[in-house]
Order: sequence, then structure tokens, then C-alpha cells
Amino acid sequence: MTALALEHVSHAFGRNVVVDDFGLTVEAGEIVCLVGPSGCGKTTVLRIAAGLEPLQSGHISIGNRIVADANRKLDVPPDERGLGLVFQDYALFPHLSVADNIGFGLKGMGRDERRKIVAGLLDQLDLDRYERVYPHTLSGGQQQRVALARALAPGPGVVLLDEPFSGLDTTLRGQIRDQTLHLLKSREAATLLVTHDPEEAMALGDRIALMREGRLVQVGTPGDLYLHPVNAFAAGFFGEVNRIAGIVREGAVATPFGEIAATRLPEGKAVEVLIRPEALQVKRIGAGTRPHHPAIVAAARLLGEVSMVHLQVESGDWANRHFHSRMAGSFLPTENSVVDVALDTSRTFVFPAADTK
Amino acid sequence: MGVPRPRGAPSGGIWTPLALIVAALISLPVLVVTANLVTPTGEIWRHLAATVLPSYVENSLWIMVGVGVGVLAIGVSSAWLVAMCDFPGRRVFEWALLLPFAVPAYVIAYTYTGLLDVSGPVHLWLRGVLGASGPLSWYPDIRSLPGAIVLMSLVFYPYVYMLARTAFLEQSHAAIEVSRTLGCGPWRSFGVISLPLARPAIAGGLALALMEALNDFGTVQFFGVDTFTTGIYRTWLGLGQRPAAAQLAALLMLFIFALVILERWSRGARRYQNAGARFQALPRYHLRSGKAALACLVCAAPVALGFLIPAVALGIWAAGTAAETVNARFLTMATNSFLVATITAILAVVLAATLAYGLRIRQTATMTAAARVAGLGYAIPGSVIAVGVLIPFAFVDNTVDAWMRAQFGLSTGLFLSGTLVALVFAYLVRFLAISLNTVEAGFGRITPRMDDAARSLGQSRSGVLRRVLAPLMRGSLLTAGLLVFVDVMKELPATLLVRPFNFDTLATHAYEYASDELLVEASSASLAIVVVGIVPVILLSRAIARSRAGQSDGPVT
Repeated sequence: MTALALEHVSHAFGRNVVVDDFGLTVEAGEIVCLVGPSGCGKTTVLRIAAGLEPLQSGHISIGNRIVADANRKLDVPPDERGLGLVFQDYALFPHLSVADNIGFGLKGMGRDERRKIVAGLLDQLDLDRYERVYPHTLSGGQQQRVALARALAPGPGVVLLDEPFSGLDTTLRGQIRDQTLHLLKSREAATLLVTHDPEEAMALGDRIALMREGRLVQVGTPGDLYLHPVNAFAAGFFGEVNRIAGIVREGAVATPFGEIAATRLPEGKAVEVLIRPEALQVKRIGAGTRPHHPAIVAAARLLGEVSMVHLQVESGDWANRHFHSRMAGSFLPTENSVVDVALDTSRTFVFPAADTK
Repeated sequence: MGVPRPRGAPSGGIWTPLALIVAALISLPVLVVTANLVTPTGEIWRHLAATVLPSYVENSLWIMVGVGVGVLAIGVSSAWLVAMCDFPGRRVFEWALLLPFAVPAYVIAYTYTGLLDVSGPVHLWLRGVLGASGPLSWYPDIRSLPGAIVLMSLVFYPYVYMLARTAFLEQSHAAIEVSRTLGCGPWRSFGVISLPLARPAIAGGLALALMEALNDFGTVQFFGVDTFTTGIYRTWLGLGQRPAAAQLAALLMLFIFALVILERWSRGARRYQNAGARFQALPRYHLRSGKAALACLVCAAPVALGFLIPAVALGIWAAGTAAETVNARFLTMATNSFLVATITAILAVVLAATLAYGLRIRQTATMTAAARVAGLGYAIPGSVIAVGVLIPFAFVDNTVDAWMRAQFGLSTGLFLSGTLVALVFAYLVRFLAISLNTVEAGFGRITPRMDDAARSLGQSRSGVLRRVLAPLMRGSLLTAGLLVFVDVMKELPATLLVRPFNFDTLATHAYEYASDELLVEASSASLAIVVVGIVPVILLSRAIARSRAGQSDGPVT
């Protein structure tokens, strides 16, 4: 069931168009991450969905109910939309205790029932000890959990989160992110999470919506976006890429590591080739063997689970070009040695050059 | 900072029209007076411009410059010492520095005149010591422009002190620590971090103090310093030339507009907000012997000169005359003063909150203009506001009376203009700006995300105000109430004109006695004004201290 649907939403501040014909749906129980560089309009989309920003055009529905329709001048105020909202700065009420913050949105129920809900959330988020404490005494991670609990307490069908982890330090972030993921999943709510961090989007999202300059670029599973990006921007956003320029010749583009098929592009078209580091498979050369695609190891470093090999190509059009290869495990060829490089074309993308800004 | 708050935020509900109605009502007298500007005046105005106007301008400018320097020097230095340092007596000075708030400028003028003029005790003592037979030729006359500047600075500095102290306390401690680690000493940290961060609050306090100084009537009238206010009063009442007086008022408003613009400009486009997440108790600079003594002196001097000395003098004089001056009539006057001040303070806070909340929800050009116009009353001398109130009220009274007579043969008489309604309304028009400034500053310190969070959790606009903003702003609301209360207690010219027949307040009583040079006999009423003024000063300064961030588990201002 579709829990949240935005259709043809556009928004401008003065003459500055920040959201341009944006559409997105979130199913019940699904987590969708809205990701994009800062200033792409993603926070504005979230605020429009929450009713905090007046809808200028398009329409929005929550569950079966249309909550905003610009043509009909319908715009349900935020307090009647039944959404849970978590802010980047948490916006906890400093004059209320942790328990009162969490219970703030619980209305029309008895004291005991209210207390039960609050206690359940406190327990689930390991906050029981802080029930009576005021927010300013809590750590950033604890404040984040209180903000999440406060948004979830009324049992909203849709939860919106705006950069909920950006205030946390990296060591804590992974843990809290994990806890948040499981809590959101257990609530069966539809979640729209705004982030600028592609890694976070991939770690949390059932689906990812990529935004750029107010427009939706691509929606899909993390795999779709990583393995089948629709353009160079999408390819570059979700991971490092080696970029080289090329020309289509007889349905293929030449690279230092072999040709890549480009059958859909016209002959002579200038293109950009994007190669993910893990697509460059480095092999040591056995004695007497001649490498197919030789390269020199400029440096090799172990990054933990993977090794980063810096390669340089000696001859041809790409002389002295620098490439990164990422190899599983500990793979550290001697510096300045010659290696053979094979190209995994499933992680290599070709786009018309005009498309790459 | 995230997304800027748009001009067209979601519908403001009842708050937008409510705020507009309040603004319209409050700005009515201002508009009435302004309308007088376009009435042709001719002869009288030309006469005024040729004779007394230059001296009005000159004296008013000197008062602005002198009092401005004075209140900044006293207010900022004492606020910084009390907020950022630790020295013996700091906790006492924290509230004691507010005490001169309770002393109206005209009271301090009457008192120091009694002490320092040629027939006063100080001069007589000096003569005795020096063995002079006649008056000392070099002895300065307190009833002069410099005298007025010094005395006004002594009673108006708490505006700067109070706002600056709050600003220093609410500053991010991290910013100051960062500056220290970057090699700034306490003095440089003050100049580079504390002062710029507190600048909006200090400018706000300065603007209030200067507006108060320009509006002063009692002191300059008594000292014979011709300023706009005395000119307006004389032209209006003495010469009966109301349009000419209104034109003088308009000129005075130009000065005030300059102040208002200065204040708004100094705030800049930037809205200072607290970091929201965490507060930390401020560790203070611990001052030792020499520095501590100096700090004590800096804080003690304004308290002594602005409060203790005049209060003691008034006390001694009152003790000598109380038997004849304190009677049942006196108690009635005290009750009257307290009553109108309380009613006005409560209404002013409610109206200011309504206006400021309307603005917070929906910041359209109309709304902003409405709030600014409503806040203009403070710029206008009490006597002119009185007329701005009386003209429309009399019009309504007469219209209703005429209609009732025609329809039912009944006379309703003056049911508005001769009553407390008119007086409280005049006070509101005059003092709403004070509460509005304070309440707006309080709103400004709360991130709009708080509203958004509460809205998303099912609160209506009113619910947000009641359950989140009001508790968070308790300190600001109390401060707003305090400022209005004390000002109403001290208000003189509007009270003289608008009060109902036979309605005496302590202020009008003191004024009448002092005008007759009965300075000692005026002391009981003056002292009572001061004493009544002290009570809320103490109560509220304590409440402000209690509700301060990081001081306890309690709520955060």
C-alpha cells in the first residue's frame, strides 16, 4: 500500500526554483532515502510533505487521503497530517523531561496508556535511565534517539527524517543508524529519510531517490543506482569512479584496459567512460607471460577489507594517467612493478560527454 | 541554518488577523497624531522655528550623545563583570544593578536638586569647611544640561545592563573557549566574541534607554532645559497650539526613527539563535584582590549613585514629613499606581505575544509594518500620546452619546475618555514597544524547528504557543512584564492628561509637590514610587536568575 505519494510537486522561493516537478511514492513498511548534494531541494521536499512549507503546485497524499492539492487549494496543516518528523538539530523541547518530550504527541488517551507507550520506547532505545532527565544533559546520540522516539510515539503511518545522523560522530553513527533501521522496520511505518551521504542512503534505504537541482534523477534499489546509474552524475555520486574521455568507434570505446561496447551510441560520439575501482582487476604477472593490459603500480595500500592499488599506464593515449583499483582482501603488489589489468565491464559505464558536468 | 523561512508560510490561522487587529488598535493614536501633521499651521510654527527650535534640537542631541555614552559605559561594563566574572558581592550586584530601574528620572532629579543646589546640605557643608561667607562661585549647578545627562544615565543604564547581561549569559561558551585556545585573553575574547555576539541586545537596550531619555519630561522641565518634550508640552497646553505641538512631535519622531533604524540595522539580517542542543554552565573569570576591588567599585558606583543615595535621602526626608503626608489619600494613590501598572503589564505581554507570534508565523510585509507601527508609541512623548488617545475616544463618546440621545433620550456621557480604559490604553500605546522588543527577542532565540516539531506532533498554532513557546520564554515574558510595570509606575505626562477626574497616582502627586518647590514634602510619594518599583525588580530578577540556562535542572529560557 502506498503510504506517502508526492506528485508533480514544484516549489520556488521567490524566483529561485528549488523543487521542479518532483514525484515520489513510499510504500508502507518501506524506507526510502532521498539523497543528493546540499542545496538540491531535498529538505524542502520533506518540509512540503510535512505541511511545514505551503504546497505551491502538485499534490500529496498520505495513505488514502489527499492532504494537499494545489489545484484545489487544499493544504492540511502539519498537526493534522499525522506524520512523525525528526529534525537535524532534533529540536527537543528543553523545558520538558525526556519522558515528557516523547509523550508530547500522545493525545486522547489515559495517563497509564500514555506512560506505557513512553516506557516501551524508552526501553527499546535504551533510554530508561533518562526518563526524568532534561534533554540538555544528554549526549548527541541520546538526543537523537529521544527525537526519534518522540516522532514514533503517536504511531504515525509515515515518518520523515531530515539528516538525522549528521550531528553524530562517526563511531556512534553506525550504531545509531543500525538501531534506527531496526526500529523503523519494526514499526512498519513508511519512512522518508533525507541525507546527503550516499553511503548512509545505501545502508538504510530499501529504495533510494537521487535528487539534483530540484529534480529527481533516479529512483531504485541501492543496487540499481550503483550498478545501473542513469547518468554520470548518478554513477559518480554513489562511489568513486575513474573517468576517461573517449570516442565511439564501430560501436565500442577504447580504454587502456580493453574495449567497452557502446552499441547504442552513434559513431564518432564523444563519451565519458566511468570505471569503478573494483572493476579494475589487477593480476601479478607470472614469469615469461606477456600482460594484455599492462600498468605500473604507483602505490598499494591496505584499507582494511580491501586494498587500493594506484596504477599508471605507460604508453599510448593514456600515458601517465592515474587509475585506482580496489581489490578484495590484502593484495599489495610491489611498487613500480608491472601488473596486468582486466576490466569488469558490468561496473563500467559509458555516457555521452555532454551529459557529464 | 537550513532552509530560510519563507514569506508565505502555511496559513496563520486566527493569529494573522488577531495580530493585525492589535497592531491597528495600538497604532491608532500614532496615526491620529501624524494626521495632525498635514493640518496647515502657519504663523505659530514659523515663530517656533525661528526662536526656540534650534535650542530644542541642540539640547536633545546633547542628551542623546551624553546619555548614550553614559548608559553604555555603565550598562555593558557592569553586565559583563556580573555575567562573566566572579568577585565578592557579584550575586548581590546581579540584582542590585537593576535597582535604579525603580527610580524615575524626575525623582532622581528632585532628590539631587534637594541635595546639591545652593541651599542643599552639600553646598552648605562645603561653605562651612571653606569658611566662605557667600555662595561658592565655582560650585556647579545641578539644574543644567550636564546635570540632566548624568542623572538620566544613572537611571536609564539598567536597560542596557539587563539585556546585555542576558546576552552574555546565553552566549555559547564554546565560542569563548575556542577564542581562548586561539590565544585571546579575556579582554580580547570580550572584544572579539562576547561583545559582537551581544551587540544586538546591547543595541536594543541602548535604543530603549535613548528613547526614554528623549521622552523625559519631568527632569528637563524641572531643570529648565528646553527640549522637544517641554516644547511640545508648552505649545500644546500653554499656547494651546495643538497642530504646532504635533509638528514638534513629528520632528522628535525623526530622532527616534533614526534610533529605531539604528537598532534594526545593528541586528542585521542575521537572526542570532542559540545552538539549541546543549547549554553549559559558564565558568567565570576569578578576579583577585585588586581587580576584584575594581570590579566591586564599577558595580557599586551606579547602584549607590542611582539608587542608594537618593533612596536614603528620600527616606530621611520622608521620615521627617511622613506624619503629615502619609494618610488615607496617599494609600489610595499607591493602590491606583500599582493597579494600573499591573493591568497594563499583563495586557502588554499578552498583546506583544500575540503580535510577535503572528509575525513568527507569517512574516509578510504588512505584518511587519503593522508590528513596527504598533511599536512606535514608545517614540512619542506621553503627552502627545495622551492627545492621540483622547481625540478618537472623545469622538466615539460623543457619537454614541448623540446617537443614544436621539434614539432613547439617554445620555451616556464620557464612558471612554474619562475612565481608566483610556489611561490603560494610553499606557499600552506608549509601552507596548518595550514588551514587544523583549518578546520578539525571546522568540528569536528559539529555533523555528521547535514550532515545526510541535506542529508535527499534533499541536495547533495556539498549542505550540501555550505548550512550547510560552514555557520556553518564561524569562522573556517576565522581563517584558517587568519593564512595562516599572515604566507605568514612573509615567508622568500621559497620566497627568488622561487620568480620570480625581484619580491621583504617586507620580502625579510627586510632580505637583516638586513643581511647587516642595522637594522635601514630595519625598513620601517619590519614595513610595521607588519602593513599589523595587518589589517587582527583586521578584523578577530572581525569577530570571532561576529560569536561567544551565543553572539547575529547571527549564531553559
